[in-house]
Amino acid sequence: MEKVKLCCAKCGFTIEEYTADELATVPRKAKRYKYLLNKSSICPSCLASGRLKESRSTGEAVAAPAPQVGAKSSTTAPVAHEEHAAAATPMMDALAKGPWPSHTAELKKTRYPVQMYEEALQKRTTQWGYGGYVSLPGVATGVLVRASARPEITKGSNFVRIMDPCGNFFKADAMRGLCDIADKYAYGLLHLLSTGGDLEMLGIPTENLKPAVEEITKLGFDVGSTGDDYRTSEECIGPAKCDLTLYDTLGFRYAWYQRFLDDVQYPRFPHKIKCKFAGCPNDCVRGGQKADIFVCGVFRDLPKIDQAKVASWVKGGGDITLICTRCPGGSLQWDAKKGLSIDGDSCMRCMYCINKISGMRPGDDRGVAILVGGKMRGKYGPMLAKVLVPFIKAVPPDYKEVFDFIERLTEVYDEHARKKERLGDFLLRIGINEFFQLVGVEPSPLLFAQPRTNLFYHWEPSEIRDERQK
Amino acid sequence: MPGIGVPTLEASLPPIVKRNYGKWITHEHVRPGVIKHDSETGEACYTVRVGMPPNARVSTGTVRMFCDLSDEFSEGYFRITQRNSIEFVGVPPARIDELIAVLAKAGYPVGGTNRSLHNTTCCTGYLHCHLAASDPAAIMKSLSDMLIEDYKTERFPAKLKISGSGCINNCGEGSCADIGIVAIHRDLPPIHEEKLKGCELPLVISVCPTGAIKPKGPNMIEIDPKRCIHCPACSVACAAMAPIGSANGDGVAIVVGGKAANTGDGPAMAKVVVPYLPNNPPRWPEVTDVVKKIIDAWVAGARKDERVGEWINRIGWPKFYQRTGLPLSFKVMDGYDARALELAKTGVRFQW
Amino acid sequence: MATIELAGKQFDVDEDGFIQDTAQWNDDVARAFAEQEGIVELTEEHWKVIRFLRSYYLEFGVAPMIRKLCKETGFQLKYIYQLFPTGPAKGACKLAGLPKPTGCV
Repeated sequence: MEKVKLCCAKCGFTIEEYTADELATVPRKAKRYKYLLNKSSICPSCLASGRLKESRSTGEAVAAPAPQVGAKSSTTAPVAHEEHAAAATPMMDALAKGPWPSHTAELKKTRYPVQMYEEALQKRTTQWGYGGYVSLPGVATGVLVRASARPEITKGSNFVRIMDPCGNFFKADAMRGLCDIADKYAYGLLHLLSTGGDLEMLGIPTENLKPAVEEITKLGFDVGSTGDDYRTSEECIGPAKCDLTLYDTLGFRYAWYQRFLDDVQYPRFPHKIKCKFAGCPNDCVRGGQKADIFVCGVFRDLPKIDQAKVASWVKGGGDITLICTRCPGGSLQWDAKKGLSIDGDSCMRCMYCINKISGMRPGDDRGVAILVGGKMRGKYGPMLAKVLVPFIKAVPPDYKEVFDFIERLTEVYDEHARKKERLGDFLLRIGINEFFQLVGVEPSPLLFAQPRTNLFYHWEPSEIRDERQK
Repeated sequence: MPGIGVPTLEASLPPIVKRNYGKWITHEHVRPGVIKHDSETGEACYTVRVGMPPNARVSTGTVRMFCDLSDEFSEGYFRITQRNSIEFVGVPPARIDELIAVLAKAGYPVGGTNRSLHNTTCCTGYLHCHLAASDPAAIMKSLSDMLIEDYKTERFPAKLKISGSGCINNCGEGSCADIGIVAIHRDLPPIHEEKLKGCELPLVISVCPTGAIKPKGPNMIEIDPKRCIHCPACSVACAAMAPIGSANGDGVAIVVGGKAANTGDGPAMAKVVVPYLPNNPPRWPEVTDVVKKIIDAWVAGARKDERVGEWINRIGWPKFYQRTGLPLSFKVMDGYDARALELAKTGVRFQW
Repeated sequence: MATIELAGKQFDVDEDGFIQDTAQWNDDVARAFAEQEGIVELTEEHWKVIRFLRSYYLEFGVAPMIRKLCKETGFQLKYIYQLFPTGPAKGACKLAGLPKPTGCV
């Protein structure tokens, strides 16, 4: 198959690519091809203007060779990367010492421009320049650019965010495929994983971005998680390897991507929205701290006690007194004869006893709570997520009720929030009363920590009427 | 091209997980770094947890080594945890020692479970970020070197999580952790006038949390230096106000007591206990010193299952400062906070 | 700072090719940028988006939020991505001579 490429005459950046077949049969493409060939164009990569260069070749030579999935330790020759002279790196060498695995030793095995890091350490300031996101045609999110403040060391660096699979299990063969792509197109350096849960492939020259993304998607991974959209959602290990989970976090996340993929890949919200799904109140994903929308597994009835098992756990040396003392509600009572009992009024369903005592299991009336507004910075600093819905049933496979609610919530956010205002900041600005009414949740004592002490309150004139008992 | 979403569970889960999906009934910490899960099918699953270089930034050569090891020991799959450890899931119990020995030879420690130091996490810092006020990766390397024995053993009262962020944007989640290192700027953001035309000035003005940025004629702004809290929202929103920072201006704050779980005292954000320490590469001795003091006091004083924040809640802040010997300043209770006065003491229930 | 020549005039641009002085903008600039972005022909629908972005920017000094853009033009977000392959922010705003949308956090 003959391929026709139109490239920048100066830097070789491919602006368009066709097959000979397409040019013969698709009039729209033929028209565009002629148009581009005859016009003076500006290259988005190097900003050189002029006529585009045409190159023709047969498919084998043009098509990027597919990564050799499964081939152990295969390395492909790097594509046009800036070469770095080996200069002294005393700071990085100092950080390569010590018993813990060293990141500087790892950097030195790659094509990362080590002088950028070394000089940052020496000068005590970062050597990178302003950064942001770019969209490539067909790749709306997932690509970040980072300018360099030291162009003589490196001109800059792009990287790609790859959405992690549910459960963060990676098949060795698939991971080797990603390694091949990173070797071929990038620094040969991976970030496993970013704190947002993405796998990042670092140092991809602009002209390699498109082929790199294409090969990543060929492996079955997708890119995303930049810009003002749903960022990559994180889920706890859930039913894949945990005995405590209260709903199927992995299935929930998969269904999430089925339903909301467009909102993940096409930014449209006022600011980013981070979603975390925790299987139980142990919150291993730290969703209560950093998620704009946090879906947490909860149960309403009391923990289940298998008295025989608990007794044998105590007999085997389990410290039941410690658990009873540390129970936050003071709800547990142990009696060697009667066994363990729970005070239903004060039990907080916090999971502590269930975590620690063999023979205790979460209750059966299970669902999820939805909390909103957690963030690490936003405008007004770190904020814990606030309860919006204390209990809602999570029904597989499509979790319609939960997702419908979240959609309603983001519609309110999208409609009323200001530009670059995180959900938590928005909630803080408009206030609990208005926010809860906009979203349409009923007041419930489960929604607040305590009533206010300040008696100042703005009443609307429309609220003033004769309210005496008849 | 994009638009395919995340891989299906069928494609991404290892066989032992598929066989027992949702059927686990109990788990136990066999030894540091090794967890055993029992399934109602009668199958037992052993997981081996491995520490990673700071920032989990690894060369493809190292990733391939993990791939080869997972082919050898865990049916060709490995997992990356929330705190960036590598987990080999489903290792045959007879081969656990062999795997640990192979990893040790390659320089990778096994541990980070239960009452130990969990793998440290941090943001990219100087490695790849234009906002970084410090390099948490280097700090985490220094701390991990110092605490590696606590990673491999379970001598702590409860689990200990240490995270580092390279600026107040807190991508490294310092405020989530038991002990967090959050880098701070102390300089005013610059205003590069020639670049201001390329900025959305109304946005720059509105993102400032204290209203320190004001318009000054057409296409020009000014900063009220008294009100600036160096957050640096404007530097993010506008290239003309970046880069912020300088060698002596930047440094780190130490925060303690963050926790996500609803057990004990419930979820909490970490609180600032040391407002500023200087950047001192490559090993940040001032920072490691403070962290060591906090950990030593916590280990000596905490009851079993008491995380750092819960220990402080019980003994109170006066005892915390007394036991750790950290210098105190009003800068830890004043500062930018909507509820600033609530940080001052009311009542006289003193824990002398 | 880089300079490019569009429609016979010199313009200062930033590293991503956004023009620095939005007052210099005219229809020809949009056409020249369109070519660079690989848009064959600016249709009425393209112009609808560009005109809205421009008028909103001139009034408020910021680019509108995506929801506003979709509502006012009546186009679905995905359709805007079809019109402007690099999207409303990096594509349409560039054509309309608006400043580069903001950074990464």
